[in-house]
Amino acid sequence: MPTIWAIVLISMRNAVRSKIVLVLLFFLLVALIGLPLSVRGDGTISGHVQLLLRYTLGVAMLILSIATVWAACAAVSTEIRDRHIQMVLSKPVRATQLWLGKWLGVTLLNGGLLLLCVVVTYGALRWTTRPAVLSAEEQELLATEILVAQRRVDPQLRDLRADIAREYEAARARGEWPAETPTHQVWPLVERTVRARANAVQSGGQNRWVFQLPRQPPPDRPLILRYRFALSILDMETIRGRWRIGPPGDPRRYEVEVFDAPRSWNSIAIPPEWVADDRTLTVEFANVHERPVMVLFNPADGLRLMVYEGGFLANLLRAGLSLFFHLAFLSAIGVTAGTFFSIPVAALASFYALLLLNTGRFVQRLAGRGGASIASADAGWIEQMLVAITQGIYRALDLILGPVYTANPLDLIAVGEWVGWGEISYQFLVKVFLYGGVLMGCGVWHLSRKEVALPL
Amino acid sequence: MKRVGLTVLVCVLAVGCWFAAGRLHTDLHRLRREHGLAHAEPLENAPPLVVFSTVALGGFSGLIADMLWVRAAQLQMDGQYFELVQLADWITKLQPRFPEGWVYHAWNLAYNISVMFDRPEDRWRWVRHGVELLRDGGLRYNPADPNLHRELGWLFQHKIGSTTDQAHMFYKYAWAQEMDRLLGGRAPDYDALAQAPRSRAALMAVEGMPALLTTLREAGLEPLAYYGPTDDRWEALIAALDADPLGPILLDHIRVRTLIDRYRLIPERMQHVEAEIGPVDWRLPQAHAAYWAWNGLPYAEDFEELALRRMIFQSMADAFLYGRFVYDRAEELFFPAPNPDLLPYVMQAYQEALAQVADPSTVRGAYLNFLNTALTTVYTYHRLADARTVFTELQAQYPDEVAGLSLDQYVVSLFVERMEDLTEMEAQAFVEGFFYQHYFWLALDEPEQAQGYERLARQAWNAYMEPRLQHAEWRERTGLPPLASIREAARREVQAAFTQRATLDRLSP
Repeated sequence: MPTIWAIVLISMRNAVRSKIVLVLLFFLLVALIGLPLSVRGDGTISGHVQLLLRYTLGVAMLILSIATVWAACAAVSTEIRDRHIQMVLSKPVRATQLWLGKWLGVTLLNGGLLLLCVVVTYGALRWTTRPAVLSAEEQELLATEILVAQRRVDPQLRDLRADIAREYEAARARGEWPAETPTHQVWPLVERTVRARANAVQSGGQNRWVFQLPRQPPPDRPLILRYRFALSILDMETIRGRWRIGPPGDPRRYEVEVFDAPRSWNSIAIPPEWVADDRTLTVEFANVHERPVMVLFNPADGLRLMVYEGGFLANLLRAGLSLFFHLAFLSAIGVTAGTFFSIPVAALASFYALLLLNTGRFVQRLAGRGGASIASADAGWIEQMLVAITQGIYRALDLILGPVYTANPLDLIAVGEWVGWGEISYQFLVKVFLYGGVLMGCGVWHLSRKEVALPL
Repeated sequence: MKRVGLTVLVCVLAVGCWFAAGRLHTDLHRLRREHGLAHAEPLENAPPLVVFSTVALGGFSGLIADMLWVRAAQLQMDGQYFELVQLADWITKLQPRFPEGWVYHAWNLAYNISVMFDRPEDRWRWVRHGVELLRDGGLRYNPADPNLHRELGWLFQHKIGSTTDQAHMFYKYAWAQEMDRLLGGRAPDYDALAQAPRSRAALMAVEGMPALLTTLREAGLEPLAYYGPTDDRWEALIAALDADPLGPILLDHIRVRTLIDRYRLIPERMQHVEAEIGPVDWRLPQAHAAYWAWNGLPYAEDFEELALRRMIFQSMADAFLYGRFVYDRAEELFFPAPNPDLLPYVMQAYQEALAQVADPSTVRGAYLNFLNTALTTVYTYHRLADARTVFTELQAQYPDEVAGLSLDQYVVSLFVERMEDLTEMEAQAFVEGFFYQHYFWLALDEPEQAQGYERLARQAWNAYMEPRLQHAEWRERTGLPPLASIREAARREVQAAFTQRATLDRLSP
């Protein structure tokens, strides 16, 4: 073990001596001090908190990612280039120890810097939202809705398979598409239509959703129902509706009349006593708008229930832990790349990997997941083949990188959403243990076979 | 050693070139100004981001702006608006000399995003963001762009001034309150502001001023922080200044600096605009629309000039109809009301336009509409001399419209095409409505307008009842209650809507 720590210390010292890393750390310092003072929100306390967290920690994370990748690439490759590695390998040090020492050194250094960023950001947040600069209403909002950790609960999915099959058969009987059209092309469209209809509220009608909570909510914290809808008309008309909360048929149901604008997020507070003993909460929306118009809640994210889970600081630290695992993963990529290549090549390869990791959604789309083929129907065979090859590459990339595309914890904490231990454990298992382990295996394998004493 | 010497030499050379380029830069700016090569002044004292983006980033600034633009569009689609002010600020500052960027983002904030909120105060915040982006950013970096002036004027004329937005009254009220606190009335005291010390040095040279500032600071106020009228400390500052003989001088200094620095309103230009378009109320948006249009005129040509002139023109007509600030603090009532004093100015503007434009048919139509509206307005204000002036103009310009009708008959015909053909219920509603207006304006201590509505109520009652007075059966079946009864019903209804003693006294029978 002491061998590894000696390598860790050397690795940290080398990273700190790197001019590029120092320049990046200077930018980090500027971002940490400058951004909280200069970013302009929308004038609300909620906007200010979201912007400060996203921008300050987001920029810090970007700089730390680059610094980590660079320092990790340099950790082994510069030692080989400068022939310092011979002093290490001439001692009884195994390749595993060398890799682990380099990886830990870079990871712990950047992890420490990340912790500093989190602490400074939290300090800046507290300073810019101190009671002296906020109204009583804003302070209340900050304490109850913004600086909290709320678990997001989506409504239970309805089993619409029978409805979809019925609609599919009916539409086919009506001849709505050519007979030779494959089912897999039409089915998703029919499914989307049926799901949209199941989440729509006709003029004068009502619709119901059920939320299953993981546990009974705390009695002193209201539940927040957040919702967003579109209209069947183009006008940006404010819609009158009525939310009824509680078991259907209960005459004492909790009712809230709302007057909301479409396409923006709206919310209502629900007293926790309306959650049933089986931890379900039933909500019903009645469309009582004077003008006949249909209200459409997006089936994917039109409704969500936010349930209080804990304080903000603990959530921020959990988010920090999640980000730390991501840095550890980047560090593993860099160290392994450094064992294979010289520093420019290793850095280029690692930054390309970083780019791919940050364009997850785009890669997924190109891989054709959930979307139509990108080749046009009348394309020639060469074009179709090229498209198939490209899609194959992206599918392979998606298969490899898919497990590491996870929700950005900064997006969650910025809106007061709970960063769960399940998510953090997943990040550790996948990014550090699994992918980190595979990368270590490759790095160690190559390092143990690499000739590092070649003449210049 | 040789290598170090070379490095030092290169560094010295670089610094020398840098210095020389800096010296040349000043001369180039001077030459550019002297030869009128550009309307806009070179960027001076610009924020670091703007300097960095215009100098260091070069062509890449467009690329970064595009990326930020894509992000802004995505966030907007996702319903996440809190970041858009910052993104709009960065996008525009990355390309500060691209006016369309400023126009688009200001319009997006004020129009597209504001309507996503249902609370008027939230909407107003976004409308303000739009105004501030154009006024404090767009016009700062593109002071000679007439389109930016027009777009800013349009936000005042249409977004705040018209009735298309559900929250338009809130916008008007919020803006009026802000301006009322700043100006202390309809318009600033131009003479006082002209004499007010404009710089801090001039202020400090006033005898006794440093002592007053010290006293205020000891009381926890910092007058030279120029809080602005929306700040909670503004009222406390005004109250503190009231007690000191030097208070008015300091207050005028604060007002003039706030007008210029925060609202970009130059008092001398405001006074000039008033001289041109009449005694407008600066608490209302029409005056600001006209101000910004007027400010853009020196840089405008062809269509832009026409558009700006039309904006001034329309703002004047709007100011006649809604350009007076009626505010009853006790009853917490606010609404914009007609400003009949602007009548001669607006008529003159129309007459000049009729004489100037090549095809006057559009202006003739607009002028007829204005004269009809103006006539009903001044008539309800009991400004009979003005009503006769307008009627004479109608007779001269549009003889067919008023043929065979007296002034009274024409006014009633404007309200209701044929009063006698109305149903009994409709006619009673009209008469009672006029009486309601009479008492409403009486309650607000506006006797002129109250008298006008009373006169109109009588005219309407007479117009309806006159043919029925000859036929007992018809009168019995469709006649109206006596005028006094309708009047009393309206009085009681208005009385029920008010609570303050002084107001109720004005309504007693």
